[in-house]
Amino acid sequence: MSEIKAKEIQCRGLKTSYLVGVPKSEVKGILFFIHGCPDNHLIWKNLMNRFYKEGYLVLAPNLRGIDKSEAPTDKKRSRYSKDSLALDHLELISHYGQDLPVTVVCHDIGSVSGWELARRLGPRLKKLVAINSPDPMTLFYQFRKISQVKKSWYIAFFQTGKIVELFFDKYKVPLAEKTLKLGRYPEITPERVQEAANLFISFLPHYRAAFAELPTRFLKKTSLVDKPMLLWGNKDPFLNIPTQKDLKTVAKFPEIRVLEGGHWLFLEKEDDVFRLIQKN
Amino acid sequence: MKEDLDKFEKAQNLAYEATSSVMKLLYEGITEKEAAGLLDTYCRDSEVASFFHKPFAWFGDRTRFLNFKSQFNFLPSHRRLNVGDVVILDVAPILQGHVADVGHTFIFGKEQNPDVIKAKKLLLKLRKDLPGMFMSSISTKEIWEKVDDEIKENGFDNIHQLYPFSVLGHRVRKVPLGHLPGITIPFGWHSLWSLASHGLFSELLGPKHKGSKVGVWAIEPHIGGKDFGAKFEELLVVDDSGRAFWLSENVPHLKEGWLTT
Repeated sequence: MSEIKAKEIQCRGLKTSYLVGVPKSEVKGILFFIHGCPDNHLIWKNLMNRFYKEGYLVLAPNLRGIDKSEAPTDKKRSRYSKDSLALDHLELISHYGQDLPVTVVCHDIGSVSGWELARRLGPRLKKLVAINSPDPMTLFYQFRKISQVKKSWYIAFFQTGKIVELFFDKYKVPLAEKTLKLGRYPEITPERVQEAANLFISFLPHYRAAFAELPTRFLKKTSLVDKPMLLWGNKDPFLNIPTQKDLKTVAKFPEIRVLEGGHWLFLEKEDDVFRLIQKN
Repeated sequence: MKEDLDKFEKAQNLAYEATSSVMKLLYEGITEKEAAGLLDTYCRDSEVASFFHKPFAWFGDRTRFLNFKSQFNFLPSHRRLNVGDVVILDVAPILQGHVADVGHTFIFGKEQNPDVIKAKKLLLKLRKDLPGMFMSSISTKEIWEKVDDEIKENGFDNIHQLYPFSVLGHRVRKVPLGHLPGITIPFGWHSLWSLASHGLFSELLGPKHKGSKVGVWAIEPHIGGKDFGAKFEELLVVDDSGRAFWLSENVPHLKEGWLTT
């Protein structure tokens, strides 16, 4: 992967693995990539290489519990909370540069920490680019539509403790294959299916924490993210395209771009996504 | 006692790790609430379920408690951080039932303020003198007065007299049910119970304190200049033989470059 290196950092007692590329010459800014389910940080390798060559410091952590990023031994849900994940990311960013502007790019459930990180970066945030990646509050408002309920029933199933774990034990491979096919993943190989199958179960605590946090999010007013860019594949089988109304509690002046594509838009339309992320 | 002191030290080390880490994450424009939220998350991620008091963050002139009229004014506000502001982070986690309470003062940015440097020298002198005061025959009430005199003689204001009960410090103890949330704000029910069940006034080192010096104290001299306040807070142990010593010498205010980020 050229100059992109795999590294590890301790975040409050837990190892976090990440990919990083630090340009040798002047750095234009930080591009911070957060993956979704059922992926790991390697999903960003092509975009990382392209931005690295453009002079950006690129960072992509594995989410908590994914691959070499350690999960808490006591299954403590708080380490999967949006606050905790955002703090992990802030610590990683501050390790590489306190003053550089940061563009946050998130996909799928990477939205939980991606949107929160964007809120916490303050003036250092250059832009949030959410690729098929709604803030959990947006998704909640989208559940008013039956079409979104049909698409996201699995989130409720993920809350069912041991039942879902037993289900994954037995059916994780066909489930992974179906997920990739439905989401129009560009190159589905047996290795990729197996990798996705193995990763699935590690995402359960993320879905459970995001769900458990919803009530407190209603009680606590959060700040709005300024001018986020939302890139959406019009054929996404899991997420409806959000409207300005859906986004009103989380974003100020959001820009929504709909492209021809599925759930993994940044793989299908890499050139378009690369160009749009660079757009000021 | 030794085992308990080790646990108090573990709690104190965690509290200082939290303040030192959050110090590095601050940026121009962050609010006190957001900074205090980072302290809260840091501690909760490190096996802390409750706090002696909610994490506090004060910026700029709020570090000297200007116009604070009720204890709710101590809670972090929407005040935003500016370059050159003095910052105080004050966090009191309960770790495995053991309470720590630390205060960490620094200047945000590279600016040097001669008044703050003068305050730093005074605070370090107080830190050096305080164990001796506890070991001497003077009463705790006299310790409070002596520190108050020293602050005023050096041209500063005594800000800790604005704390509830004007405390220079308070006792910390092992508390039960530390794994349960604190609920009440700004002081969790653990602290209210701990103070009240031991007679309240003997637990608070204020200008009218009466009682034994023996125990573990969170000592927090807080001084104020023209538009800033500065403090340190850490645990001081007074054992049964009357010997007084700081629980740890590995604290940020003894390190080179203290007060600068």
